[in-house]
Amino acid sequence: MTKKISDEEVLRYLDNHTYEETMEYFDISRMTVARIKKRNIRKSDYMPDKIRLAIVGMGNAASALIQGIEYYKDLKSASGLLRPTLAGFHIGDIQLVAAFDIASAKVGKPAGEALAANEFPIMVDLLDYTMPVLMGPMLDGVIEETRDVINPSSEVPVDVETELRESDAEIVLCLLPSGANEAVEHYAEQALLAGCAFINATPTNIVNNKNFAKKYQEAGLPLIGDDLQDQCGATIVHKLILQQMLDRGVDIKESYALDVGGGSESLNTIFRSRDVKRAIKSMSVAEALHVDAPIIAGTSDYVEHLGNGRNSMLWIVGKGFLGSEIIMDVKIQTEDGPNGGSVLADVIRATKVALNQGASGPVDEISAYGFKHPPKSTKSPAEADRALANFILGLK
Amino acid sequence: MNEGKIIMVKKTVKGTIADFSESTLGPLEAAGADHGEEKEIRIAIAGLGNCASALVQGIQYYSNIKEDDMYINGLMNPSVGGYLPKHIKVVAAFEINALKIGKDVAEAIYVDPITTPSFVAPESYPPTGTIVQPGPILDGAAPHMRDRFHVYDENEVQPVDVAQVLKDAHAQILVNYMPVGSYQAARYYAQAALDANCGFINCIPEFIVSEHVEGDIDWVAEFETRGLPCAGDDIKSQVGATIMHRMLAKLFLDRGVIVKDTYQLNIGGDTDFENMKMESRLVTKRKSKTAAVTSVLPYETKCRIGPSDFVPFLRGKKICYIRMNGITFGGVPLEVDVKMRVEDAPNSAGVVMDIIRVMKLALNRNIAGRLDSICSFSFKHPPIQPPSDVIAKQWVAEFIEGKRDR
Repeated sequence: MTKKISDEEVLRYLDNHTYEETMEYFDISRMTVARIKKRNIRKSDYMPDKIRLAIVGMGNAASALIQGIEYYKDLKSASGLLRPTLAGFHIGDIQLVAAFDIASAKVGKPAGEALAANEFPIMVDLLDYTMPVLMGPMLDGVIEETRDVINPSSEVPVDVETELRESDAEIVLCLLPSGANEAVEHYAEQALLAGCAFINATPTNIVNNKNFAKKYQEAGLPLIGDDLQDQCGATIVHKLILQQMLDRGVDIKESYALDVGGGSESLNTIFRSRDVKRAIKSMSVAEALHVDAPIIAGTSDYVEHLGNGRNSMLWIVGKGFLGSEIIMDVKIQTEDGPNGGSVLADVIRATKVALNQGASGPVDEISAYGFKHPPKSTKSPAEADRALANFILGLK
Repeated sequence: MNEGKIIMVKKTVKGTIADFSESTLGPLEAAGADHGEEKEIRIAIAGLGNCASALVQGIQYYSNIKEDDMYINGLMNPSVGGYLPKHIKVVAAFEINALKIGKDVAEAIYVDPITTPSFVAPESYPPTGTIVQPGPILDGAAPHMRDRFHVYDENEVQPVDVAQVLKDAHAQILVNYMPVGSYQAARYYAQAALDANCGFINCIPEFIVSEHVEGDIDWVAEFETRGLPCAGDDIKSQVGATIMHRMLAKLFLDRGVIVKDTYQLNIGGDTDFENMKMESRLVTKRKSKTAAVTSVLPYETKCRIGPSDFVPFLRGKKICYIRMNGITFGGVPLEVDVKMRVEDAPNSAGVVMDIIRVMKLALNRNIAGRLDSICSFSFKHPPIQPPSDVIAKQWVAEFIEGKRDR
């Protein structure tokens, strides 16, 4: 009969010896050692860390993301999520540690409360989000036309780098309005100084900016972007339909994908960055598909009463056999905030993986997966998906 | 294209709803047409763009129709008080496009950047004998449109004195087709019409006839003093976004459905839309289009209407998306989505053709000042917004018969 051995004894011995030595010393099988090890393992040893996230711009997208974190925390169903877990990280592992904004309705308020100032309604309990929203530097974040809607606070802006360091943030997510180039660049700079990874969801060129790419590379920090792609928005549906037609030997004659929305993002796009954003969207489609036909994609108008809703109109004319015309006329109705949420949740977790892996500079696999204007785009969403999966597994 | 071919539908069914809307716009006798001499309406055109191209092509296209013809494609009224499309003569035309200046009108209406389809083949259009003259540029060309419009070199070309040209050509009516946002240019031509004793038709959304703009001349009073008729502002297409949207709003109202919110998005690919990319140029345009729809409803509603985008490959086509969210019985929602594709310029030309002929009647009858009935019927932003387009049509019919003064 084997004598009674305490788990503690085995584990202590195992600390300084190999499996074989332990087996011999206690005269037990390999499986017994493994069992002892397994039943005594502390949760923290295999549970991954929390992901410490700082958000710049507490708008609709931030609202959707944070509500998503709470919503899915205890929910068994993963409906609406792209990946319930990613490399062991659950969406609930994302932790908001700092938030920046400039709107007077948000600055100084607890983060959970500040989000209620958006068009996107609050659907889950956000009482735990008590950290105050910090006043960020304004720079070019506001233009004349959006001033009334945003109503900037008169508080003194904080020093972003210091705040990031103090909150111990590891990833900075930039959700500023389109076209606020100076502001986005400022935050990218500050995140770099504070040693954080940076995710740029705006169309401003950060990852595509060689200067930033180099700096992040040298600092050993991941850099992800530019311009977030929706989970299932006009851009991706448009691309897929075009791809499908091309795959079936149909030539594209002309196509547009135009959308209207009511959030301050739409207002902002119309007045400021319509041309930048349009260039990105049109390019994103044409580049990926190598189509030599007029393709127009972008935001057309601001319809205030749509609020957080977005209506997209797709029009595609293809030329089939004998030059016969194939016409697609599609209308898509979505909600802006939540449509970005699921992708953000994936991108943030993947960025954490990148941090853990010690990736530095632009991480093409993540950028191509979640963004409209990555430095290197893939041919199809499916390919981007595979590349990301391989990246998470550590395969190149 | 149905080039040179006119599609005529014979009326077969009696007692249909068509009987109601079929108000034949007046017989010759009541109209006070100039008997004896050759019937002729001498018009001048300021801005020989897409709309003018469609109008001028239309004169040729409809040159063979007769007074008693009914139901002709694209013509609301084949005959107006005895005047037919063929009676319209373009006697002067003003442009800033170097490619058009110096050419015969028959040739200039096909020159770049015109995107209107050539439903009359260029080679089959006989010369009109009217040469396109350089007009003053003023604010007619937005900075981003100068290349696109092929604006003439101001150092080489001297603009003509428009009023003098109008007098020399014995023009009776001046049609203003400046691009949207031409505040000064529109007023320059209005003044030229006054100076040359011409009636004035303002097709663009500059408020000249419909409203007295702060700090501006009271144009209607000026025209009235000189004994000249005027009509405006902002032409309403035959079956365009505005009239479609108005009709839907009216339908909702009449049937007790509350319009919760609505939008009307317009995209196009011609220079009109390219010009309107500049938000500052289309303040009055938006106002005009929005008022045309909201005026139907006696209550406030959330409404967004606009020229929304410029999509070059559409060329002369305009696409309109109308969305209406209504609330019905028991608070139950009702949604209407409309998509319309239409060639923009020809859609307006049929309307202008009517206005020209109605104004000619006014000239014959020495009626001065604004012509309320045709304004209400044919413009998005008239002095009097009619309760419905059917009623406005009735007013016009009464005017032609001489039962209404204006």
